[in-house]
Amino acid sequence: MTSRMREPTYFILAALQDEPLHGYAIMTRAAELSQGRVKLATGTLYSALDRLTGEGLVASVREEVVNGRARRYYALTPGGRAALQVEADAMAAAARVVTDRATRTRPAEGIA
Amino acid sequence: MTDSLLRWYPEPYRSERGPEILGVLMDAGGPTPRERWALMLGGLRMRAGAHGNPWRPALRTAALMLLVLKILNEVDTLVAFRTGPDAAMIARIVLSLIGIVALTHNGFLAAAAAAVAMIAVDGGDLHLTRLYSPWLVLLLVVPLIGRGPVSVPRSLHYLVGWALLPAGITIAGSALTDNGWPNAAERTWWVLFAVAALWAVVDERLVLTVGLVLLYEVVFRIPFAVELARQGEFARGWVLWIGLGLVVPVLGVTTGGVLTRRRVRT
Repeated sequence: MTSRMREPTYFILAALQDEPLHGYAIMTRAAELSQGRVKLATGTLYSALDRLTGEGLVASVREEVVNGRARRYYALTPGGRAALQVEADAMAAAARVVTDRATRTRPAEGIA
Repeated sequence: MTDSLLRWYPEPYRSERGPEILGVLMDAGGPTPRERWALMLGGLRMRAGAHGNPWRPALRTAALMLLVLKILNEVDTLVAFRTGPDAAMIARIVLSLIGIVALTHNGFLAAAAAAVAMIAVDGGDLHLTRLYSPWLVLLLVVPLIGRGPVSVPRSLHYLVGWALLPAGITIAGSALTDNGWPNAAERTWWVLFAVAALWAVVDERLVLTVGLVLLYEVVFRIPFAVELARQGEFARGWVLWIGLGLVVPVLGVTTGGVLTRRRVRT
């Protein structure tokens, strides 16, 4: 069995699939997409971004200063998009193992 | 504020990313205790260089520690018996030195060859139950052969220095066992293990290395325990002695292994 992506990493990459985002926007988008399960602390987010940048899955694309605060925007690289897709496919396949069976099983066959 | 919240990060990183991280913290409503903890861990992990697979640096450092201990053990024998070194002893010291030089230059095949030569010097006797035996060096070095150089962080370099401490206590003659309680040399290993276990929150390589060095304890103490049980002499002191001996290598390798598995995943 191949090593699976960790949930925070998955939702950080998922947060970036539509457009480049700055750090705080990544945190809020990841929380929203994960329905509140992934609440990243700033230190955790930047450790993950540094690692993902090093692995070539994410890249910094631009910087700006808004209300006196420095902001750097991050985007998915083609490699990051591909890794996200692979993970999503794997999770979908794993989910089908259960959902397909549930669809096929008639209520009379259940225990309750 | 930058200084207090980001002080755990190296200065160059603080200069480059500090304003951005502080901006995000302010957007998030300010630093909570959880945020402070995450920043401390992130900074310490960065300083420790804790990224990538930790097994290879841990294997190399553990093998290096064993060879240093091997030389100290030979010196201990010389001091204890006040005899001149025999040819086999000189050969073991020279081969250990060759192994150390080879390991520090990423020459893993040469280090493995030195370990095999040491086993040959002992007439093929593996001395399975001794900390200073070359079989464990061989076991640790073989997975490193043919896979390129290993980068070892500074925190693991300190470990080799630590190896001198329990060995020094042993040589000083203060390591007499008393009813199975840990002696002075064993207690220094315990202190090292406690430090390594705490540091595992930041970097698992230290605890992994200590666990690997003490793997011989598993080979040593389990058959000993079985034999004691067979003879009906399994007193409480022995249970403690055996248990303490097994806790460090087993916990070290499993803790390091589990943390590694968690952290090397993307």
